[in-house]
Amino acid sequence: MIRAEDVSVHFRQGIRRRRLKALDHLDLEIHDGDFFALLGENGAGKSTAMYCLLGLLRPTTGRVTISGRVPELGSDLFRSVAYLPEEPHYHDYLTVEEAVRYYGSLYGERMGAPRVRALLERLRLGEFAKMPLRKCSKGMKQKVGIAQCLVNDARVMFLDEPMRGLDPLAVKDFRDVLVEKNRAGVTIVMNSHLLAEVEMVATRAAILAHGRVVAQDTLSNLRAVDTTAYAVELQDHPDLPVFFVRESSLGGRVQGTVPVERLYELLDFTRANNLAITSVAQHKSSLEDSFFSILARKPPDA
Amino acid sequence: MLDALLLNTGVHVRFVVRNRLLLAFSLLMAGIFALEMIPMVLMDTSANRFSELQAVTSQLATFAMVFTASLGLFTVSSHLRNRNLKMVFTKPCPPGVWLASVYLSAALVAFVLYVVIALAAAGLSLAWHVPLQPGLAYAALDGFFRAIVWLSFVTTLTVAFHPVVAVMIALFVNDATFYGLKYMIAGAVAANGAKTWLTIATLACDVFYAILPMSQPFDDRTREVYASWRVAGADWLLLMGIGGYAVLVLVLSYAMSLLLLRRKALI
Repeated sequence: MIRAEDVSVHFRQGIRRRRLKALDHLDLEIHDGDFFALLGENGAGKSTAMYCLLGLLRPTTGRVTISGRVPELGSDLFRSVAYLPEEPHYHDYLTVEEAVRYYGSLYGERMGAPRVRALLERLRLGEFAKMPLRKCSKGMKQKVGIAQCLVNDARVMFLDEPMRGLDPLAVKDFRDVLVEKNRAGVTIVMNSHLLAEVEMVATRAAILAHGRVVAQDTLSNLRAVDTTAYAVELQDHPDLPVFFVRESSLGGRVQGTVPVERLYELLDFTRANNLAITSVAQHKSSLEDSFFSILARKPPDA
Repeated sequence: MLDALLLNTGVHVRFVVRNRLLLAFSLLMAGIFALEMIPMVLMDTSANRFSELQAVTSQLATFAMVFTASLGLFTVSSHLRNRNLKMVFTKPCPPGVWLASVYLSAALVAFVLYVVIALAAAGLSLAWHVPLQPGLAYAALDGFFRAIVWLSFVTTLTVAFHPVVAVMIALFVNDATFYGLKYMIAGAVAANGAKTWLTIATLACDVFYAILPMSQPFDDRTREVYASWRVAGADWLLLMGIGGYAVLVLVLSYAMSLLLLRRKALI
């Protein structure tokens, strides 16, 4: 269990040492095995929260624990923790191969040449093994970061914007790896702006605004049920009623929403025209819709 | 812990070898050395070769001392500036181990440098038919210990301040500054009498002089050895004392740097 209790972080800025609240009484509870997403606008405090969870930043007030222990820099606790930073702040004077070997060896892992090679090949970095990190592209550096996350048998993974700079193929590969790890019981904490990506993988999420948690729940609960409409998929017809709002159509089928009070009218129309209905379900908003509505609903008072 | 220490030391040595700023700095020092050697080469006679040898080794030792101090400066400032320490400390490698590896790698490079200087001087000694003296080894070891003192001083300053500020402080706020100031104030007291502000200034100078590490420990007592390169038994004991002092400064510097590093924002 990862827990942040009443965590506040204040920075001092400028000559007049003006106080800036980066986190404001933040409470987080991440259970073992969660795929937890930290969501929010730029400057909401997602990265700061992650730095606190990792012990890289000491909270001004409050307490952070991982499995009941306060994370101390370089402590033994990190033997089972992996961290992928948002910015590629790596040892850029090392080559790709050397960097992966170095980071892996810091975990106490035996990083022989075949193991490093295999890891690099898996991430399609094999041909760049001898390239200095300072000459690598953003995407390649991100892959180095991913490689060092995969060397130890981490039970907790902290990923700050993990898909940043990756090509679509790498995004899919890494997503699959993460889902596989999460299924094997690994707790994953992820910061991301890509809500569609989060929606695909996360099980729980917290939405942050101005350093505060404004919503924290399972993803299915965050995607609120719309009680005013049904989501319907049926056989397409050129004269479908106007109250049926089309969303997409493919292969002779159409998906859309219909107001709750007009569902029976739609069913009468399908019966009259002998149209096949594939599904009728309660309409759920997307994570993106929920994200915007939650942020709009709870104006921060910070 | 030992594995992590050796691993980080190896990585720092790679940093030193690949760092372009250090390379440029070395070339600059080599250029200065070459320029200073020109008059010596032009006025070379078989009669003054012993003093030429002393001058060459002294120049090289000074270069090695500045280079050693700059190793701490570049290694610490580069890693802090690039913010890559978070990649190290989010693994089971505590700041204390990483910092120890900075000192260890710099000390190793410095040791190699001083061994090379001693071998070069021995080679020149043989080539110029100057009798080999134990003072050569003594000077190399003494130089190494002095370099460790400078390395410790500059490394702690670099952890605490911006590297430019650290260099400025190392150059202008060292024991020699306060030693000189003490004499100036003593002169002022002799001329004007012990005024209150002069008494306070004397006290401040004494405090700073006592706190700051001696950049050339026991300099007055090693002058004889440097002049003749002959070493008596008591001189070796003194060298052990100088070594002990260097280790003490290193340990204090390490403790202070660690304290400061733990308080640094590494994000």
